[in-house]
Formats: sequence, structure tokens, C-alpha cells
Amino acid sequence: MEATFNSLAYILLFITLSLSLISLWKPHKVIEQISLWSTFLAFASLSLALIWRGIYTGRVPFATLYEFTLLFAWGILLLFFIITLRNIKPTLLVALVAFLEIVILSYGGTLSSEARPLMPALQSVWLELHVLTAIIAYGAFGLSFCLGVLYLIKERAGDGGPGKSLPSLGKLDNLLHWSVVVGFPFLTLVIITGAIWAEEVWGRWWGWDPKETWALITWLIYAGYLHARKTYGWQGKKAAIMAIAGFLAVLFTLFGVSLLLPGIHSYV
Amino acid sequence: MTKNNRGLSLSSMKLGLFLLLILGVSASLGSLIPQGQSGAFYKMYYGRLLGSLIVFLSLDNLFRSWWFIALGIILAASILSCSVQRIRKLPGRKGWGSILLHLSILVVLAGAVVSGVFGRSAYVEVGVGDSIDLTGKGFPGQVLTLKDFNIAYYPNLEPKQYYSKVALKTNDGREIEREISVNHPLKFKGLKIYQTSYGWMTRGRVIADGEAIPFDLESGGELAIDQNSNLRLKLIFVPDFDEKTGTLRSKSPLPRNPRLACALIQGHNLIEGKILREGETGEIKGYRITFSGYRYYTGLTVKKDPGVTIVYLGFALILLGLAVRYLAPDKKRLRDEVN
Repeated sequence: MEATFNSLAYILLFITLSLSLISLWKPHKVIEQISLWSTFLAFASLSLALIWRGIYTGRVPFATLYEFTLLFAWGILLLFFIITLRNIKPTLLVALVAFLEIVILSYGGTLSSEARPLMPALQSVWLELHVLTAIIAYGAFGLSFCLGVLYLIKERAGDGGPGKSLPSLGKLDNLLHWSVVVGFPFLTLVIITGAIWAEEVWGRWWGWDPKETWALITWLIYAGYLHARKTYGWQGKKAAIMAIAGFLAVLFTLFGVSLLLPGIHSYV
Repeated sequence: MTKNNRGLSLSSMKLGLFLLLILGVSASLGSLIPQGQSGAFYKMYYGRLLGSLIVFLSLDNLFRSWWFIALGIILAASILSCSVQRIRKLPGRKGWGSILLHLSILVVLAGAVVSGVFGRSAYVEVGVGDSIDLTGKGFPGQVLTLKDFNIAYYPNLEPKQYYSKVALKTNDGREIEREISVNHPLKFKGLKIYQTSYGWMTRGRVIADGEAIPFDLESGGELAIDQNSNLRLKLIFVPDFDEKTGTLRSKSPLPRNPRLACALIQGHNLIEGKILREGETGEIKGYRITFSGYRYYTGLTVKKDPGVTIVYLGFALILLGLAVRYLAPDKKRLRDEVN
């Protein structure tokens, strides 16, 4: 069942991507509407896959890199829907989010999805809080990455071509700032809950393990974004590039470290 | 922090941002270069020149190097100096939240310093029924006894939890009994004891040249038989011996069919091996070996770290600061974003 819901979400995201590309080429209200609905159904389907996995394993699906990859994709969609509630749903954003989701889920498909019981180190309420806050933080950063890319496109294309469906530069910049402002406190909570968990399980709240180090690097980048924007008014292009760099650090923390720099987080 | 274009004063944002950048770049180097290896390792792995440079700049022990710590101290001073400046300007509610957030980071850093200077930690291994005096490990007057150890398994025999039942006698003569498991350390008056590892121990004796040598060793350990000829007996415990294959790979982690595998080794060469049942005596090259029993040992990390309380206080203040800074109602911003 889990695999079925996963495949369904994957197919729906492909439909979203194709439809939004079509409506970029030839704008059409109905096609835009369908592509949004298709994204929503993909979100629902992904939620069902996660719930099913939770029921099947008898625990919250917070334990493996495969599970977190699904949660990561879920979180980006969640934040995307929160901003569509503010009536912001440019076709190019829909296309970009769908593309990012397809990339993340495709990577997730290469990971082992074996449902194993929870090892002793992972049985902690702090781990659950750690993952829960990470879903929101990384979801918000995923969205800010998309908005940063849109900003750069809008700046180059202006109101013509791909820039036509996009809101103004000022609005994009504000939205980008909003998503970082949501993500940053949650990233702080991710690091705090992770530190408390590490203290309870290994007796060291900080150990410069590569995953910890990269979470801190990500935090430093977004802290830089917020301070530079506030003090020097770094908006627009510079800010968009920082947000993109921040998300690359997120991706490296999640996937790069697991692949290249195995440490104590070797199970995630 | 303030916008300051005239130069790099301690409270200038230019310095602040520069420090964030340098700390980020240094931390990434620290994660990419293997830490704590020998000097020879870096020369072999990175070449003579680059390897020497890594050691010279302490990139091999980056997070404890003087310059990394100095960067941290300058960042702390910069945060402090600009927070003081902001307090003077009588900030509003959000401003106070932000200042609290910055000061709480200083509390966390102070806790880290206390952790680094006063924190002590030691790893000990204790067999079931044995006691260990922690004085030699830096915890004077504390005696730890392992009353029992057991493992809970899932139906597929993956471990679910490890339990060490311990008694701790403290230097004021009190004795407490607790059960330690992963994620549930023993906490007593600032002392914390963590479940870290476990293994098997075997007991018995060897009669060599008419002399009995008793042993009580961890599985995988070696017993010296003859120092001059470098003759050793390696002892490996197999909890669930597979009769069909006869290999030393245990069928399950449970002691369903326990055996002691003994191997007589000289230098790097295996001379002869033998597999014994519990209570059995066997002979290898005239050495009579008796396997009399087995038990678990537990691996515990004992730790005392007064910095943790300060760090946790810092965390609590960060939460408070975040709440004041971000949960404050701000109608103007919301309006700005929607329009």
C-alpha cells in the first residue's frame, strides 16, 4: 500500500509538472487549476504513504534516511500550500516545486525502504521533536530555494517570457524572506532538540559530528542572510543567492554528509 | 549590531558577518578533513606539502585549535558589544526578543567553555557481579557494581533495549540502585552514567607445564601462555554455535548453544584450535583448557559536566527569545507581505 501511495504521489507530481509547463507555454486557467489540484492530491497521497508506513511499522516514520526523504518532500509541499493560501500560486513556482519534489522522491527511491524496528538509540521523544521541527525548517528552506530561483529568473526575464506569471520582484523577495523567517527558528529548534537528544543518548550535547557541523553551517548561512538583510538591506539578488546557498547546505547536511562523511548519524 | 562603514569596530555588522562566514568555512573544512589522525597520516593522504600545512594550521584538530576558539571568542565579544548598544537605544518588544536571543547564544557558548574545561568523561567495562572503583577514572570515592545485564529483543532478534542494573556507592557512603538503558542514563548529583556497549566474558583455566593459569576475559581477548616464545591463547565466545556449519558465526545473539573457541597462536600463526562446551576440558598441544562459565559485561560512559546545565539554560532562553521575537503580533509586516 505504501508503495502504491508513493507511486501515485510521484505520478501526480509528473502530471503537475507537465501541466504547469504546458500552461507556461500557453496560459490557461483550467489547466492551472488542475495542476494545483494534482499537487494537492500528491500531498494527500504522500501523507497516506507515511501514515501507512507508521501503522505498518508500529512507530512514527522518523527513523531512516528513506523516511526522512519522504518527510522532507512532504514538508516542502506543506509550506507551498501555506503560501498558496495567501493567493500566491504562480505557474512557474508550481512547476519548480513539482520538479524539486520529483528529484527528492527519485533520490528517496534509491534508498533502502526496509521497515526495521526502532533501534535503542532512536527511542527518544527528543528524536521525535528533532525530526518534527526539521520537517518544517527544511520544508521552509526548500520553498525559499524555489523562490530564490524564481527571483533570479524574474530579474533576467522581466515581465516577458517565463517572468510573465511571476509576482513582482519586491513581492518575491518578501515571500523569500518570510520563508527564511519561518525556517530559521525551526532550524534553531532542530539543533537544540538534537543536542539534548545527543546528551541523553551519548552523553555529549555537541561533538562536531559532520551532520551536526553541517546543520550549524546551514544555521550560520541563514543567520547571515537575516542580518545582512536587516542591516545592509541586502534584498533582491544577493539575498536570493544566499537563500539558494543555504538550501544547498541543507541538501548537503541531509544527503551529502550521509553519503560522503559517515559519522554517528550513520543510521540517518 | 549596527551598520558601521567607518571601520571594523567590535559591534559592527561587517565584522559580525565576516565572522559567520569564516566560522562557516572553517567548520566545513573541519568536517571534510579527517580529524585527530597522526601527522604521518596527513602527509601520506594529502602529500608532504599539504599534509604539513594541515598539521601546521591545526586543521587536523580544528575544533580545538587556538584560532578556532579565538574566532568563537571574538564572535561572542561582537554579539555582546552590539547587544549592549541596542539595549541603550531602548528597544521595543521585538527588539528585546532579539537581544535576548543574542545573549542566550552567549550563555550556550559559556556553557560550552565550562564543558570543555570542567567536563570529565570515562569509559568503563564491568562484568555482571563485578565492582569497579571509579577513583582511578577521575570520580573519587565512587564504586560501581553491575548487578545484572540483559537485552530485550524484537521478534526478528534485532536489539530493542540494553539494560544494566547497577549499584552506585558514593563518597558520602550512600548507595543507590538504578537501571540504566540507552536514552535513560543514571543521573545522580551531577554524575551521569550511560549505557554505551556490552559483550561476553568467559571464565576457566589453562594448565600449562603443570601450572594452572585461571582466566576471566572478554570474548576476543588473549591469554599469554609463554612470554618468551610469544605463545598466546585467543578465546572467542560463541553464544549460539551452529553444529551444522561448525563456523564461529553465532546463529543468534542468544546463548542457546554456548561454546568457547580457543586458538593457540604464536606470533601471527594459528597453531591449533578447539571448540569447548561449558564445563568441558580439552587439550591443545599439551595445554589443558577448561571452559567453566560465561557472563555479560556492560560498557558504561561515566560523566560529570557542569557545563550542561548552563547550556540548557541557554537553550531555554533561546526559546523564550524566539517566542518574544517572532510570536509578537506585527500587523505592519503582515500587511507588507500580502501587498
